[in-house]
Amino acid sequence: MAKDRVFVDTNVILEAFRTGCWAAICERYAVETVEKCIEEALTGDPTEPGRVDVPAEDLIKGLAARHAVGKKELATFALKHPECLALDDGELHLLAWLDANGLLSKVLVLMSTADKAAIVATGRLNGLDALVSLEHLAQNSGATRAQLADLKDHYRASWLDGIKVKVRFGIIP
Amino acid sequence: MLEQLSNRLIGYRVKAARETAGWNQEQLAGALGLNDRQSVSDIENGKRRLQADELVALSDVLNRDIEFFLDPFAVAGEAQFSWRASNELPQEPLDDFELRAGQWIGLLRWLREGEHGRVNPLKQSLRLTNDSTFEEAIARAEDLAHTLELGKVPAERLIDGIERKLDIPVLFVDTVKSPEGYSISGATCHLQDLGVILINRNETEARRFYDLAHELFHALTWDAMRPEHRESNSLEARGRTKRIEQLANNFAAALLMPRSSLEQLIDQRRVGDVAHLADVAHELRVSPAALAWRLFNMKSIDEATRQNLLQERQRPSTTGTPKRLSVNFTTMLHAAIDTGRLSVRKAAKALGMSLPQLAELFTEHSLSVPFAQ
Repeated sequence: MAKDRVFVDTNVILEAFRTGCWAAICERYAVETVEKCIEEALTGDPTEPGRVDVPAEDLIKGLAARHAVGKKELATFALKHPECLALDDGELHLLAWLDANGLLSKVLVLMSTADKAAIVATGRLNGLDALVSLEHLAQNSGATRAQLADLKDHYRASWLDGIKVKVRFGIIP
Repeated sequence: MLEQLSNRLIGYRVKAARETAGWNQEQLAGALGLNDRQSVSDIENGKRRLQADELVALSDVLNRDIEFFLDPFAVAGEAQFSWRASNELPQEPLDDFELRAGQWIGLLRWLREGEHGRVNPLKQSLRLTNDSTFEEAIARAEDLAHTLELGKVPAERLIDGIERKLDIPVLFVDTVKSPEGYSISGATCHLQDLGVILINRNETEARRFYDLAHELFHALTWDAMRPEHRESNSLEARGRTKRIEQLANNFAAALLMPRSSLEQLIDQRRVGDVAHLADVAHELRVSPAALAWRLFNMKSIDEATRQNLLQERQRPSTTGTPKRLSVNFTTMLHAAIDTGRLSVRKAAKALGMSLPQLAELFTEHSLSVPFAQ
């Protein structure tokens, strides 16, 4: 049976590596992302406290696909959804690619659950139902109890559900 | 909020990129395959709504990332700065710092528009011109101190008055410093719809207030007396050079040391007592040298007293280093992230911070950290 497609952004990649559940998730799902998220996950100051080390080889090996986002896709998306320009580059590229390919309502999308702005933007694009938490995917992938317990609050299903409710009821933004 | 991507803002960036490339409008029109330079002029003036293909073409021919034209925090081609910096500070670090500061100010503008839902249509200005006398600059400063109800010690309420009553944001920042210790004291940034004052938060308290009052003069007289892009931050050098800077100095001195405050604080029986005058300077949050200059110009002290007061050491500051940026800025930033209007990484990038540093900024202002750490 074909694996479900899941698109991840930078924050989710970092948290999956920090907690050690990246490989399990990639085994269970067809994990995809855009080049900008890969770039963001692999760069940064390695001496910074709390910095998550992401081995490039492990990241690339786990991905089912990586997508380059062209200027035309970005420009079209930005002109159509200018409110999304307050997203960081990785999230913007990811949503632009999904929008350009009409996939937002057709696949499971694991967006940055650490970032409310990405959730709000996905809601504006009618993609709220496609959002799932890293906790949900990790559970389905057989992550260990310790790995699940180690997930930060913003990557948990309960946190994401709470934000989705706020978006649906117009409490935020 | 910039929910509608402003054609005007894109136009500023097109113009900036074209000028950096050294092209005229005709050349750009040719490269884009447009009929004439008027089409480019319309794009730059925000009169023409660009299509995605045209943005891509602009990105290609002007050799800029597409994000350059779309970044809601960019101020390229729009922001005009006037810096107070050491003559010895090389231009390159100042230019680099200006790019960073531009992002902070672009973010601040975006946050303000999100908060208020509109741009403040009014702009405050001083009733002064290039032909105004020093006496008139002093009189306007005294009047402004009264209008803003700054009280006996104007420095104490100055920031609040500037931000709340004049609607000019004040940002306290860590500026660049050369290995030899040369630095930037402050700046005024002028946008069409916003003026912002930047102050080096690591200067002494007296210097910070003096710079604040000085920059306020530039912010309130920008249209009538546009300052140079860069001026010396040496008080002596300022006084010797441009008339605008001399007017700004007189204004700053009178704003921080209005006659009424001096009359209340200086015991006339001790007007020659430099220890007493140094205490007054300390209370007014100005340096003994600034008070000496002010009193001498008012003919309140003689040359000998002025010289003696110049030798007096600055009393230790009563307040610490100001918190980074400002309470208003940080509070608006917190709300934007917390309500999902702004992505955390986008905010951090605009501020030139890592996520832990952004978290520290919120903690410094006694705010919760609105994202996963």
